[in-house]
Amino acid sequence: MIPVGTREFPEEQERAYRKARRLEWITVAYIASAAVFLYLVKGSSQAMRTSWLEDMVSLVPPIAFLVCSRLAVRAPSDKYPYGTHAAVSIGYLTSSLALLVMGLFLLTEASIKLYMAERTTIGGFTLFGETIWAGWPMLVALAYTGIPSFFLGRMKLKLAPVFHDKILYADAEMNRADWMAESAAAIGVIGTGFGLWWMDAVAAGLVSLDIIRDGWRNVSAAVTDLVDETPKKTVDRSELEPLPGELARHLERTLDWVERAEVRMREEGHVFFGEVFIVPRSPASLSGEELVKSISEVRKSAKEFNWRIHDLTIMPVERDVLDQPPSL
Amino acid sequence: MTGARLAAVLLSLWLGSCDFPRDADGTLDRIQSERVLRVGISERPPWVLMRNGAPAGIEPRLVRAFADSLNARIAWTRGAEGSLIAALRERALDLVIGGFDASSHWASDVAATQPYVETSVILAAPEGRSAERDGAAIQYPSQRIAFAALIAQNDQRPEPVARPGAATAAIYDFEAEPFDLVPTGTDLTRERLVMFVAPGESRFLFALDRFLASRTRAEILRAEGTP
Repeated sequence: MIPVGTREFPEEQERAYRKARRLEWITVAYIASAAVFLYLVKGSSQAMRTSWLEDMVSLVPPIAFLVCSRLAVRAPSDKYPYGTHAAVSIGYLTSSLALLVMGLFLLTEASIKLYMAERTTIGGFTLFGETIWAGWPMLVALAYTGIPSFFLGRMKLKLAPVFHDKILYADAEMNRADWMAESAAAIGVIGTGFGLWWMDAVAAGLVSLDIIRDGWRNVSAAVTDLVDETPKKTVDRSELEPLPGELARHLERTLDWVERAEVRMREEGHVFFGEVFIVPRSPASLSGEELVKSISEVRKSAKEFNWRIHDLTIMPVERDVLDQPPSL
Repeated sequence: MTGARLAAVLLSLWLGSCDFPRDADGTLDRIQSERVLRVGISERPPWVLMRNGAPAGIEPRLVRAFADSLNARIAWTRGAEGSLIAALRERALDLVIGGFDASSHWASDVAATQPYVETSVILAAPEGRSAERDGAAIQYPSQRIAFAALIAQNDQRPEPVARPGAATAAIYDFEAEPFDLVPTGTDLTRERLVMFVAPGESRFLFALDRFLASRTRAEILRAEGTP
């Protein structure tokens, strides 16, 4: 049993991964503190109760990242000769589901409130002997929870493609859902102040549609991921990952003895596993020893091409075989 | 940062001057223009009770002062809690009182004030008397049936009386002096009292919250002298 590959990340990616871990710990601490703050201010306002539950759901992706991405980077062993890279896919599915659930929950709450014509009321809040309108501390609490979410999300969105972590990407989407939902709640509070009791539910309902669309998109991506669909780019999942094709062309260009190359890859968490099919230019002239050396050359060239190419199986094949990929 | 603070101050001043927050149904404006405050009452002594055919107790006294501040007279409606809450939701009433606790399930159907007072139900004994003997009955004012349950939960035997004072009794902490009893140190439960207004009426609720917060605890709980 030869375990596949060694380290998960080269230096740059390792740095990004460490930075991401720090960000996620900060996220967990921050959401927990925001949840406590909101609980204290919540009063009987529906908007605030909803925000508090949202915070709980928002904790799922950071925890998924901290647990799953840590598992994913473990070196392969006899027990797990392929390593445990797919832990990232599990974390991604979990986080995407959390995002979808958040959107559905918001939509349900908003719909019920509008259907039952439940009116939001915001009265007084006494602090240090002064009674002020309770909407003001609510807005402060929402700003405290919403504004950092915005910036944390953006930082994560920039980091995710660096080491190709989909859980981090899903968490960035969750942060976005968070600050949008909190903005909707803030609009609801102000609307209530102007006597528009329904503003709460309408704003939350509209935002929830966007979140549901986001969540659904990510759940589909996570599911197709798990059934080894052709890899797509991290952030813009509408485009195919160009790496397989690029590698094939690179090999054809740089290695003399390669007449034609085709590459088939599947994503395992951060990295790619795959097969390279090589048609040698003049197979008859290659001795067994030369063939083995040439194949090692291909392997080295491929792995240096991109850090994400974690392990490849190189197969020399006959010319006509590449028109119809072999099934093993 | 000073730019933002200045903007916040100006915003509050502007909003404060243009009736912020507002009522969804214009309750406060209507009360001030029609000079009538429609109040629903459900009895729960000492918070709300009837005396000589008129509402009396801690909350009616507060509500009368509130109505005075609005230059309005009061139209009282007696009823069961459920009916009053239903009427409040339909905005047939402006305010409902009944010694409601903040944890009351009615709070999810209507809008509640902040708790305007916090109090404990305690066990108190006549001066000089030692702690209650095992198995001895604990007295409670006969109209406060809920106290009987509290006493029973404390593994003691409840005994209704017209007026406590003769033996160890379950009373509110602020009633110890009027009834000439000394707290024994046992708390049966804590209560946080609220009043209810119609959902959506934020301006009216805010005015009521401000009024209630402006009263001290002593003013609110001035002895009524009745069970």
